[in-house]
Amino acid sequence: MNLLDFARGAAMKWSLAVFVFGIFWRLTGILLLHRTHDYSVPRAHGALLGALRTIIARSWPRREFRARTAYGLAVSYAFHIGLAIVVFGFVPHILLIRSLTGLGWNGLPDGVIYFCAVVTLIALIMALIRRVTHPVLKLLSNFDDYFSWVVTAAPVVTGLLTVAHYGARYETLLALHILSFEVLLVWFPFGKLMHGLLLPVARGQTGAFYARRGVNP
Amino acid sequence: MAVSTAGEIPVRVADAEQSCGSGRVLAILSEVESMLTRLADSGTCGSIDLRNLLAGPGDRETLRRILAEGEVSAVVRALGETQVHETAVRGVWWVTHCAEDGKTVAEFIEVTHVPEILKTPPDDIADGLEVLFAKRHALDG
Amino acid sequence: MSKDDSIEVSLRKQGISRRAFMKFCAATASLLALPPAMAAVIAETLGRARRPSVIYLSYQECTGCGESLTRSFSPTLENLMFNVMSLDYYETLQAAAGTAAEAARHTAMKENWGKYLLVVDGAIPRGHDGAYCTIAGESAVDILTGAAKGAAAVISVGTCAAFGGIPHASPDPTGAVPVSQVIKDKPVINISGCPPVPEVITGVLAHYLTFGSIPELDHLGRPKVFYGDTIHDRCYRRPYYDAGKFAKTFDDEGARNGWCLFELGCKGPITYNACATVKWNQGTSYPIQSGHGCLGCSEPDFWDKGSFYQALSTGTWSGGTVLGAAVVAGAAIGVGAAVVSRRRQARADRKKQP
Repeated sequence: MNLLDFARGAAMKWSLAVFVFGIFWRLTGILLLHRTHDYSVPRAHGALLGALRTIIARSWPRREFRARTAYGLAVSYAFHIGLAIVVFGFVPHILLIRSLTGLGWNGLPDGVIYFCAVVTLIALIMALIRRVTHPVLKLLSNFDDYFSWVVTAAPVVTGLLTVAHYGARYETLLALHILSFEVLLVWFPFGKLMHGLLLPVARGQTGAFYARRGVNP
Repeated sequence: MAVSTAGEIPVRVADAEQSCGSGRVLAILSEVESMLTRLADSGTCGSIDLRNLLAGPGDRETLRRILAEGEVSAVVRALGETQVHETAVRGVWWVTHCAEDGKTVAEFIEVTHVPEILKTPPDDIADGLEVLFAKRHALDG
Repeated sequence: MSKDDSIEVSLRKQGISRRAFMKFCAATASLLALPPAMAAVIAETLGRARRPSVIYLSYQECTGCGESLTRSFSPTLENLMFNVMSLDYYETLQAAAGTAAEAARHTAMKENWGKYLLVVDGAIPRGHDGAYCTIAGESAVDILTGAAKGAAAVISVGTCAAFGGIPHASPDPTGAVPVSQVIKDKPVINISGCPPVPEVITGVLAHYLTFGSIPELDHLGRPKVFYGDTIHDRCYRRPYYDAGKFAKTFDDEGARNGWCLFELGCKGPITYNACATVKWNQGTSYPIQSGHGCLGCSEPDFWDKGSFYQALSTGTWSGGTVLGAAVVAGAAIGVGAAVVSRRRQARADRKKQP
C-alpha cells in the first residue's frame, strides 16, 4: 500500500468518522443545553425572523465600524468565497462529494478554480499577517487560531502543487493533498473551524433574543 | 438512449479540420521552421521523430495537409517499404518506414538536402562493385 | 548462424541489407525516444556486438506478456529483434519439452554464465515453500534463484513479475511476490503493464544490446524512457481535463466528443506508462483513445485500488457502518454531556433558591 492508497482508503474512512463523530457530539451537546426560561412578556413577536435577520445583518459591518474592519472583512470574504468556489466548483471535489452523499452538480473550468485558489491563498496569507501584526488580535490569538489557519491553508497549498505537478510526483502530491484535507476534517469539530456550523446558531440565538425585546439590530 | 444494433452506436470520427489549430501541429511547424533556417544558414541537417508528437486523432492528416506534397517522392524497398517524399516546403522531407505488412514502424520529418536512407552506404558500394565485376566477368565469358 | 558472429554479420548472412539495418536502427532509436541522430550510433554498436543469450522463465502468469512480446513491431522487424538475441529457453515458444527443455536451459546457462539476460514473467509464489508452482520438481523460487546467479541482468516483464500483479492481489492465497523480492543481488529492470506495451519490452532489450547497460530506472525499477510520464501528462484528451469537459457516462455527448474520462474512473493521472505515446497494435490506439479510462495496470497493486470506474478523487474505503457508528457515538456523547450539564445547572438553580 502506498501513501495515496492510505489517503484514499483507511485515512479517509477514519477522518470522516472522527469528523461526523465530533460534529454530532458538539451539535447535540450544545443544542440540548439547558436554556433559562424567559418569564418576561415579549415586546414583539417573530423570534425566528429576528434570528434570520441577525444572521444576515451581522455579515456586513455597521457604518460606525466600517473603516476599522474593512481590511479584515474584505480578506475574510475573499478566502471564504474562494474556498467555497474551490471546494464546491472543482470537478474532482464534486466527484468526492457525490461519492459520499449522492449529490452532484456541474463543475467550473480548471482555469477559474486555479485563479480562485491563488486568490484564496493570498487572502489567507494576508489574514495571517494581520493576525500577527495587529496589536489586539495578536493578544487574542491562541494555538487554536494558528493551527486552524494551517489546516485550512495546507489543502490549498497542496492542491495547487498537485495541479501544477510541482515538487514531487503527482501521486505523492495528490496523497498529501487528500491527507491535508483529512487533517482538516479531524480538527474541524474540535477547533475554531467549527464556527462554520456554530456561527448561525450563535447569531440566531442573539437575534431571537433581541427580537423578543423589540430591538432591531 | 437505447441501442439495439451495432449500427446504432453513435460514433463520431475525429475531424482533421477540427484540429487545425492544435498546439502540437503548430509546435512541430515552428520546430521545422527553425531547422530549415539552420539548413539554409549553415547547412546543418535536422530531424524530428513524429512518434510521440502526433498524439491526437487528425494531427497527422493536418500536418500532411499543411506541408503538402512536393516534387520528389521515392520508395526504398528494404524490410518493407520506406516512403520518402519531399513536401511542398522544399528541403523538408517526410520519411515513413513501414514493415513488410505495411505497418508504420517509424516516421520522421527530415530537414536536409537528401535523406540519409536514399544515399548508398559505402559497404553497399563495395558490394555493388563486386556484383558488377561478376556480371562483366560472366559476359566476358 | 554462428553464435560468435557479430550482430551485423549474422544479419548480413540472413540477407538483411545495410539500408534495412539502418531502418531497424532508426525504428529502435525512435522507440527509445533517442534523438534521430542516435540511429547511426546504434547501428555502429549493434554492428559490432555479439548476440546475447536470453533465458525466459514463466511463473504465475497468463502468457499475455509473451503474447504482447511476440507482437512487438511487425513480423519482419520482430524477427530481426529476435535474431539479434539468442533466445535459448522459453517454454511458450520452444520445441523441446520435458528433460530436453531443462537440459537446454542448463546448457545455455553454463555456456553463457555471467553474461545472459534473464527475462521473467509472472509472480513467484512463496507460500507453502513454493509448492504452488513447480517445474520438473523444482519450485519457481529455486529455479529463479539458481538462474539469476549467472545472469548479467534480470528483466521482469509484466506487472506480475514486476510488482506481484494479480496473483499478489488480495487475498493473495499463494504468497505471490515480485522478482525483486526474490533476487536482491542483481540489477532488476521492471517492465510493468498488464501486459506491457510490446515495443517497450523490445525497446528495453534493444537498449541493453545497444549500450550494454541497463537504462535509467525510476524508484520502482522501471526504465524512465518509457515510464517517465503519466498517461495523463501525455494524453491527447488532456486539454478537455483542463477545460473541465468530462464524459459522465460511456454513451453521453461528452463520450462521443472524446472528452476526458476522469469522472469515469480513468487512472491516467497516477499511471506511468508509454501507452499514450507508443500506443498499441502498431500505434493504432490506446485504451483512452478507444473510449475507456486507463486501469493503471502498470502500477503496483492496481487490482486492489477500488473500482476501475471510480474517480481518482474519491475514496476507496467501504465502511458505511463505521460512519453510522460515529454518528450514534457522537450523538450519544453529546446527549450525555447535555444531561450532565443540565443536572449541574439544576443543582446550581436549587442552591440559589431561598
